Amino acid sequence: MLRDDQKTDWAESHPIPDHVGPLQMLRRMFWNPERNTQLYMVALAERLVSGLVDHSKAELNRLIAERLDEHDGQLQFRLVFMTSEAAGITGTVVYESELQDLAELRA
Amino acid sequence: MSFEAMLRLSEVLLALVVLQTALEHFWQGRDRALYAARIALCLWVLGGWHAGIAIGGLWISSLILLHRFGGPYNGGADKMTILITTCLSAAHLFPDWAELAMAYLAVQLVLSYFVSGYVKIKNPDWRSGQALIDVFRFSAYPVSERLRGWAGQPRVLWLMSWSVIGFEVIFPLTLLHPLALWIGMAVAATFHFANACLFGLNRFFWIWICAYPSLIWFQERVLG
Repeated sequence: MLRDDQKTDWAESHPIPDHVGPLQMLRRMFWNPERNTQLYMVALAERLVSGLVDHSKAELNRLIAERLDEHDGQLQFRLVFMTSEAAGITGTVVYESELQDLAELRA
Repeated sequence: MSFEAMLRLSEVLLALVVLQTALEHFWQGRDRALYAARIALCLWVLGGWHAGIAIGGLWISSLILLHRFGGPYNGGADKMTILITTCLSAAHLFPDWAELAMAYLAVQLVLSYFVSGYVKIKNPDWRSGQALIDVFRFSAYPVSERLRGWAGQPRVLWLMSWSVIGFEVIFPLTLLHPLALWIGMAVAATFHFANACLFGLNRFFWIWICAYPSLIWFQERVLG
């Protein structure tokens, strides 16, 4: 969530693409920094809810802020863990961070 | 394969894999000093001049990275990198125990498959194929949204589940014959390649292959 005096909707950070073709898969065998960052963020999310809060929160803030370099304002993130239940797939918010100044995160 | 050839091949493969990961991090602009050091150490290993010292440097820098990232950056791939670096460092530091260090790596490699298969076979969700259905349906692991469609193919995923379980629990038996071992390693490499394509786990593919020379040597040394 970003604020330039106005609230915005939650947006997924580092979303996976709709489609990855065979050639792109092959290229990713040799050069895959984006995907490896995504996997690191998954590990950070799991560590954060397991109790390793300070480091994981700082790293997630830093990585999300890197993606928002053209924005000003404040950043807040939340973690939604998915589970499969009889009624279908359910998302549960397991963590919500406090607001952080983007300028502070970039300093 | 002689012990010396296996040791050198393992070092070269490790240096190439660590070089690739270090270049990715360096390019992203994070922790550049540390990754520049790792790049230099990899080139040192590839050069071959007192490579043991550079391997030791890679081991120390791996520990610094563990601290820096609050654990492994890339899960099991980083753990295997540290295991290989530790065994190679020990082989250089304690020449009298060098064979033992590399045999330890080979045994750990076999266990990495067998234990993984044993855990899956005990899990009813893996036996029914539900675990893989869930992975494709809603986990963070598929590389694209379109791949989630595989969750609608339960028979294919059941077959995939049992193929993985079967190869993993049978893998230790491939040590009984050199040809069986080569076939086993080819199947394992195909499994890692599929994981790299479907889940983006490219680092697992390369780092597990780094440990294969130790397995070839171990099979010849113990059972050949």
